[in-house]
Amino acid sequence: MKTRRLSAVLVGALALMSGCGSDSDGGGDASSGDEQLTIGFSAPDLSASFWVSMTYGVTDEAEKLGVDVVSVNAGGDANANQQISQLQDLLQRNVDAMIVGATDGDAVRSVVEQALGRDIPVVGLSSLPNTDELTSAVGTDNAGMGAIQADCLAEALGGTGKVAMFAGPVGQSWAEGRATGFTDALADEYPGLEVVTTSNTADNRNSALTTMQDITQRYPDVTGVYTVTDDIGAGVVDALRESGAADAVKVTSANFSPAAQDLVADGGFACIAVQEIVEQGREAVRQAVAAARGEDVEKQVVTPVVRVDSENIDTVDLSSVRAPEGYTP
Amino acid sequence: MTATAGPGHRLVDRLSGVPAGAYVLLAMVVGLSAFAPRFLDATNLTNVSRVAAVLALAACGQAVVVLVGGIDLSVGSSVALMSVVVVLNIDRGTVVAMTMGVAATVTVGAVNGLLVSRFDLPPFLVTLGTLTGLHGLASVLVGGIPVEAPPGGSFSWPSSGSIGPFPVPVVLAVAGFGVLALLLRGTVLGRTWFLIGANRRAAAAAGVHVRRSIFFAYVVGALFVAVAGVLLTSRVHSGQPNLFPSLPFEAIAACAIGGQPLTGGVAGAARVLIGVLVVALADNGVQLLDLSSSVQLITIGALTVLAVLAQRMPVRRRPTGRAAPTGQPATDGATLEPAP
Amino acid sequence: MTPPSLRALARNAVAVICLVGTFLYFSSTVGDAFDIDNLLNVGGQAAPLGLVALGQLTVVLTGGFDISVGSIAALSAVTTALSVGAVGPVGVLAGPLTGLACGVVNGVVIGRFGIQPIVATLGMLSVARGLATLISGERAVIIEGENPLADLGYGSVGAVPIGLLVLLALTGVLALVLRRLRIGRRVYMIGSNPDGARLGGVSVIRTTVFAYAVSGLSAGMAALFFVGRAGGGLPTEANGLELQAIAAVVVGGAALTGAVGRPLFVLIGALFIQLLSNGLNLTGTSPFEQEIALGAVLVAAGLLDFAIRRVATANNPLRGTP
Repeated sequence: MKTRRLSAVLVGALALMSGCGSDSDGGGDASSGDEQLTIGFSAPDLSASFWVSMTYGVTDEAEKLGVDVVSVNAGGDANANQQISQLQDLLQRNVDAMIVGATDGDAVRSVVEQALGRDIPVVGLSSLPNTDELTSAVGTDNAGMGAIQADCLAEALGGTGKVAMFAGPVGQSWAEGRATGFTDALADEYPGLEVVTTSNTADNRNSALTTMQDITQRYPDVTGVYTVTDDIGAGVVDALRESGAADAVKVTSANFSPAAQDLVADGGFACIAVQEIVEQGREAVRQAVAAARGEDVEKQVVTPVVRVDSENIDTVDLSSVRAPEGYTP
Repeated sequence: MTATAGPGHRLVDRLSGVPAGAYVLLAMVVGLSAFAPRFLDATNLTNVSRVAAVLALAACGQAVVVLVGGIDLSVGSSVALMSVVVVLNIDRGTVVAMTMGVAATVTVGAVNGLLVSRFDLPPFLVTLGTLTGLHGLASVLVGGIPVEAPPGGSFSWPSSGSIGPFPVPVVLAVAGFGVLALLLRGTVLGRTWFLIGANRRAAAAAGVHVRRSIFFAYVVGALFVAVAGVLLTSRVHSGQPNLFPSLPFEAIAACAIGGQPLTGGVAGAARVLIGVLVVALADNGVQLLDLSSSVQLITIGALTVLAVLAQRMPVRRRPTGRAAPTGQPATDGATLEPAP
Repeated sequence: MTPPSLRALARNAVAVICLVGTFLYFSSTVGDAFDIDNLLNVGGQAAPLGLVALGQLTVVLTGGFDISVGSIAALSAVTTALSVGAVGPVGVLAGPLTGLACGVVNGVVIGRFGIQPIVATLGMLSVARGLATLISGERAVIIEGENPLADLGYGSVGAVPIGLLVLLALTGVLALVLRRLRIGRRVYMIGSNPDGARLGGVSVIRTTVFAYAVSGLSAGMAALFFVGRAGGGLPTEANGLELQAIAAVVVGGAALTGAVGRPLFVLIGALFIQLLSNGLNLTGTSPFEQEIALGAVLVAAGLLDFAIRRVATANNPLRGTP
């Protein structure tokens, strides 16, 4: 009798575990004919609006083109080993092409080159795997985005001031590109602006908040802040508003999440550099599909960037920039 | 000095009186005032007190759970879930949304408590499971990305408002300590916790409803955490699945530094306060001294261990090398009195 | 009365059921991608987790746990990458040595000074992570040129990944050590009855240090796999590895109160967790849903354990709460 109860519990647990696997996203069939392609898409992290919009672009374009997408994400910018395992899994699954946004460009190089060695095209998306053999590299003019922030920060500060930088994760090419664009512009055109401190470790809103508070303590004469993404920028503005310094310190940011839109409208951000995130996702799929079909591929695709501030915010076309309201990957 | 069990060592403890954590705190205050620029600034101290208030409430909750010989690792995911629940329901009004958030957190505490008390599962394992599962749940609810709350006065009030001259977080934290002290010393439930923490079988033999009491320990702990969650949600003004992952570890460190043994049976509001202040000042200090974040981590880690080490040395020298596993109630002479 | 062997069997059955169940489930949903090649692939991927789980088992047997292994692995990865860059292939020894050193520190703090495992390993978690970030200059330490560990990360003997072979071998080694060597049996002893062990002349300090040293060493060896795969040492790596390791240990039938558990079944537990992750990846499940699944698995494994204990207690009224 007791054993029966025990087996009931065992079966129940097994059922519980079975119930935990969710519906497949994109089907389980390997490609049988030439038409049905399967693209593997590996993103570093889906807890930032940036990659959510990217995923929207990828999956929406895939649907339009009639290809399947297997979407995986590593659950965090730091989880390089997890992403390597996921890329191996995609290889295992014999996908027709891969799109990779790297957790760390160097760390995924080996497995990406293995994929390329097995004739699976690999398209790098925004955070590029650090290899010369990429089938195609899709991104945006990150340096241009940094320069835009430099321009409008200089305007807001009247040309002189001390600046703090929230430069984003080390090892990701997009963040480094933007930071370099910003500092180069400062060196070339705005010598009156001086960077006094840089943070690479603040990576979400709450940690940006705390870090900004500490920066205000250590460097009370900071009047401008460069932030590499809007999640970080929102945290900085939170900190400034909490301490009442929001008018004295100008903040610039990048990307156009709903939070960023609000902050431009109400003056929290002096301006934002906006890239066509969704469009990049679409381009990546187009290149991947072209490569899988043996057609011509563009080695490098750079989508344009634009500056958005309180003056033009109402006229910006959002469809290529970010995912529609209420979209969940 | 080599006391083992029994009232002898308690006398020594009483004589040496103040837990070692207090001396550490004193040293830190003196050191930082002397060497850290702008430490004594009114703005800095206000900032510190806001951050410390959140930690204080979480540590109070943790102290209750640790008292009965348990532990709660799910606190970080709990507040994250709360922030998500609150912001997703914000159109029902701030108060209603906050209440729903509190209800969610307390439910988590009840689930933890049920699994620990009814099924005798190890608290470490249970709260590890809820930590992981809840983080996933919070992320799924918002589709991964943080959800913004509409700007508005009432939402920000818990974190930026004031009652009289005091910031709301500080008032809430002080109230929290008061409630904790009252619970521990002045209620029957509190006394049962001490009994259970000291010697579970003796408590059962004495007629205590052990399972029920443990269950309530987790629920009450969750209530404290819920208030901390209100402060955090208000502060970041959004629903964040990754709100504060290290919160449980900071809370546990605070309890340990303040002198609360993680085997259970001993607790006190004053101890929690000391531990919280040490952790909060350590965080603040390394920033003000311009130490890099890696040095920050090293310092906090070393400080935790050293503070606990200092705690144990003068009072009681255990028979050499006993590896004391946590999760089991202490069975060696901890008295049934609430500690000062 | 339920014989002890039946209880042990039920405990160990959990891991096997989980593994087989997951395999069956995914092969029916994912289809032909879920073949023997894939399983071998997963086996190779499971090497770091498996190693760390084996180390964690050793510590859990003494009644403690080690939440610092992720940070130790990250630190070891960084020291390995730096050493290889400085002195060439012999530098790979830096990984295991770093892990061993950290483990010994843990063991001394816990065994000699009596600090509770959670506090001590919590401290080590911060210190090791901080050191990793500090000496790496906050960025990945990439090995220029030839990576001596690339074969460890990606190589195979025939169709079997080297990682899997290493994992199997070390499981066997640990099983031997725990069964046959005196120090191994003492690990079980101090888990089940520390006072009795001490009275019997066992040095609890030395055994504790041994257990945590094994855990640290296993983290250091896992780091070699990380470096092999990533081509360098990332200071941010392995966050959360300790939690997965504890999950593997619990699913593998070890009791968190100590003295119960066997390496083979912990290995099966680790393979299960890796397979679950692999299968969920292939079906496109988001990592968030995977987290919910992992949380449920942990609780379910605990409930299973409860059920087993209930059966044992019910059949033997003299046996109280474990």
